[in-house]
Amino acid sequence: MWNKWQNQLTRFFYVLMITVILTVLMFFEAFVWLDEWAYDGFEYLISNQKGLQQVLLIEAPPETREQGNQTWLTLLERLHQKQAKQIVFTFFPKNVSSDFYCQAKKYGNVFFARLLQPDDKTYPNHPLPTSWTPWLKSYSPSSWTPWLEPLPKIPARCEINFGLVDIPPHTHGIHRRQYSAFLIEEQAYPTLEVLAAEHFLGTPLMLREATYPVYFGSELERLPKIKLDNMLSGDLMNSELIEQRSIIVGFARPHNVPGLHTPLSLFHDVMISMPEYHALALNTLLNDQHITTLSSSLEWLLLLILITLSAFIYHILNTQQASRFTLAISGFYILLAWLLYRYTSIWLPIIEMILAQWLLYWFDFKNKLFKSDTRLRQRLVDSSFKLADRINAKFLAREEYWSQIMMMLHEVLNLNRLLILEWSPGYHYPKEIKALHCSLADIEEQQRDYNRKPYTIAIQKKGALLLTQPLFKSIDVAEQHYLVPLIFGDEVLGFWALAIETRNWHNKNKFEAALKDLALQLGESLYHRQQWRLRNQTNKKQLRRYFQVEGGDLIYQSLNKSITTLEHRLTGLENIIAELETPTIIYDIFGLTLSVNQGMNTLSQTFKLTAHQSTILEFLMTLCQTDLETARHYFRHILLEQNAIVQQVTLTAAIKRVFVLNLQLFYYQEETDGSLLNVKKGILCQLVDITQMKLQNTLKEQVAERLIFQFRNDMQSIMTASKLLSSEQSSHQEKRMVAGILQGKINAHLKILNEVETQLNVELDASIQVENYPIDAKEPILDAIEKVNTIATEQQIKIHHELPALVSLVFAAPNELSLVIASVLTLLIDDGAPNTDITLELEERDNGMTYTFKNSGSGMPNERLQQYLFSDDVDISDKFNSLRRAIKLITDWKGTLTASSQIDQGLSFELRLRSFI
Amino acid sequence: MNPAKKILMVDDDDDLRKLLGLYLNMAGYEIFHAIHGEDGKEQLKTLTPDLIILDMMMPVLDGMGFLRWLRIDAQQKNIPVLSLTGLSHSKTKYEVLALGASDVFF
Repeated sequence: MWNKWQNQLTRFFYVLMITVILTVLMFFEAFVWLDEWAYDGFEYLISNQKGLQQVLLIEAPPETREQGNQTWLTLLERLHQKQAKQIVFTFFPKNVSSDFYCQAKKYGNVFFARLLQPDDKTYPNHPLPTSWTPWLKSYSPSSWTPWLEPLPKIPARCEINFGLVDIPPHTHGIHRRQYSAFLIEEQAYPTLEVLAAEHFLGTPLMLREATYPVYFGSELERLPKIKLDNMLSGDLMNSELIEQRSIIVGFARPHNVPGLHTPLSLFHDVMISMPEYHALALNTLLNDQHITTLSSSLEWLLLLILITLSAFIYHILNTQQASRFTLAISGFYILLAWLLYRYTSIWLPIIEMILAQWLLYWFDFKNKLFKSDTRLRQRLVDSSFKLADRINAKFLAREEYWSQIMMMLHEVLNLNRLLILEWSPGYHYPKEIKALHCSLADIEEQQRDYNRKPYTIAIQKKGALLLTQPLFKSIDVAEQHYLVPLIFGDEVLGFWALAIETRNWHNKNKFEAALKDLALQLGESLYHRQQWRLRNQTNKKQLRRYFQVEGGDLIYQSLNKSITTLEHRLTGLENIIAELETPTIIYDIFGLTLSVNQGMNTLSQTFKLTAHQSTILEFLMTLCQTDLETARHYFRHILLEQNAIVQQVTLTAAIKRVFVLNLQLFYYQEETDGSLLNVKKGILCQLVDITQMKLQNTLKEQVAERLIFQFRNDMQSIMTASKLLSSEQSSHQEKRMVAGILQGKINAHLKILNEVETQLNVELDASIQVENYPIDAKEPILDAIEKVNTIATEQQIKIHHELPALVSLVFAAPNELSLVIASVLTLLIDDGAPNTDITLELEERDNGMTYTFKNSGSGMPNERLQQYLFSDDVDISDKFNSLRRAIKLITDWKGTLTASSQIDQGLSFELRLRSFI
Repeated sequence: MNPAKKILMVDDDDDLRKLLGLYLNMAGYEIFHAIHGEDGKEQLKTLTPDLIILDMMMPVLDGMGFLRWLRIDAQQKNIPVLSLTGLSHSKTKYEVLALGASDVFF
């Protein structure tokens, strides 16, 4: 409600202010020039629209003025004969007799121009009082005044009708207006044109101003003109030219005499003579083309109405609409002004109207900008506070924190002496926060004004400065001294002065890089420490905190630091996600990919996944080998039911890996109406590699299974033995034998239990490979055959294997055993003849498992084969190198590998591994 | 008096063979021993038992291999076989029964 009233008041204030500004400017005629410029433009637009139908100009050479009655009386009589409506002399002819003026008096429609005398001191060109009313009056020759041209000496009965003339007023040399009257010694005198026009029209003219604008719309060529000679010689083409017209008699402008500059000069490049100007001015009055201008009060009212209306319209428009409206309404004003001027000769204050409109637009724009800026500023300040609140600055302000920091810096960097100084706004000198192994003199020295070297150099460098002059008092050991500015948000918050013994100063670059990283964190800690203290001082009240940062550069500094803090944290988070080994994708809540970390990129390349391009649905379909509907179900489960999806997935390419897929929503906490709400922000997708864990789990399962198998087997013996012992049919000797067997079983079981316990208790670290453990004896064979199958097919060799369905576990490393078998098979394939078989047999005997490999191939001398496999003195190929590595592994497993060969017969290998229970 | 029924026990566990043999002997059966599948195959060249008690997990030739041979290649295809195994997988049981064992004892 208050905002609404505030808006109304603001608008009212703007309207009032604009009106006042314009009124003041109008009072000082600030718009005259612009108005005349507009007037010129309008004149140009409506040129050639109306002709000069009621005025005729008779141009006489200047020298004819002296020709007396012969010329001028003749002209007068002739014009009278031709029924001229009136005759207007723009001069007093010379050498005429009183008959001329008496005749003029007799006709009653003859008027003469009487010049104002140019006198700098008494020039009587005063504006007329507003109460002045037009009149029509004759003047007697006796009404002479020193400022007027003297009247010819004529009899009193032949008094002359005269109107005053003067050079028309001008602005910057352009004549646009004509005087309507002059006030001389409290006596008002009409001008020649006004006198003639009132006579012509027979009514007084309602001219309210001392001057009126002349209508220049007619081109000068359309002003009817007759040469005096032609008139006198009677060569009148048509008496209609004279009849009922106002005949202006004036002197033609010699070519070498400049005329008057008018709007016609601007648009048609012509200058006009004074008689022509009189003719145009008279024509303006006769055609009622004198332009009506609004009174000041009307103008003020008009502007007030327009501004008020516009202010309300601006209120409902946005900034873009407001600018369009302003342009449109300005155009409308111009059109309206032109139409009024063209058809009604009313002159609107067009410049003032347009200026008022644009002023209002500008104020409205500034007002909206200000409001927007205020809201933005408030939002930023609030955000700054929220950010500041989320950081545990209290801890950073504690003494213990800085003590810990000092100890850490001392121990990690092996520093000899160190001192941390803080510079707070308002302080002229840095103050000590903590010092270690520094003397009081050192501390006091560093607490001086820091606007000196080497502080200024360190600030300029914005990094660790190795000093050539010692900063601390010299001691017996050789030291290197550094000064590090602590900067946060482009502001120096303190210094870190330190000394390291030269013998501990090993790697300058690494040491300075460490100083840089630590200084960055120290700077941030200093900032939070200062913020905490500042907030405590302001009683933690929101309003005071607001004013604390509101205004001036403080808000910029506060925001800059908050944003820097945020950036640090965001960068930290981004780096954590990016560097996280767990492959991770972050989706938005629409299931579109936002971020993919490096781990997922690597995984995508290995298993041909399209993490970047896929939506969550597509990714789930690929990953879980499922259809779209199931993927949708998963997505709904996460998004709508807000449950996590945890599922084991297996990815297979060149290698096979097992992962746990974890999909869950993550939230952003937003404060609404004082309570924290969890807003869904996206979905976190992680693939945790459990391949090793899964393998180890499988291995332990196998061990446990083997134990159960053995127990079940032996349970049969024990049950049978117990029946025999309790049977009366059994002889004593048989019972002794049974008891012996039973004892043997118990002993064997104890041994097995120990063995199994040992294996189950082996700590299998998920991050390292299993080196020697009871494993399935057959699976590595199948893996190895798959590995070499391609090259066997290329060599046209088949691998034939006969494997028992049920076999014991063997001691080996699962992945390595597969590689060992693959190495043996590769050698056999390499040696084998095309279209022959490699046979692979697995046999369990003597507490061991025997793998037998044979081929039909070229073979080699057995002695050489033995050398290749077991002698270090022989250079061998990569394939035999692999076998040698295999033999080493087999030895580690406490197994054996034997080989034999015969030329043209082939190779055979026997791998023997220990079996488990 | 009817002659005693013959049972061939194929098992690599000497103790179990002895104990079970003694027990069955007392019950009136004539017991023959084989230490693995291959040994069993040899025995069957000269012996036609009324029942074969077969261990599944044995060296040289395991119970599965022996049973497969017995039901496909041997002349005495119809001798009933009781399988003894410590393997608790139901999969193993089905495999053994599918190969023609009369029953499986765990």
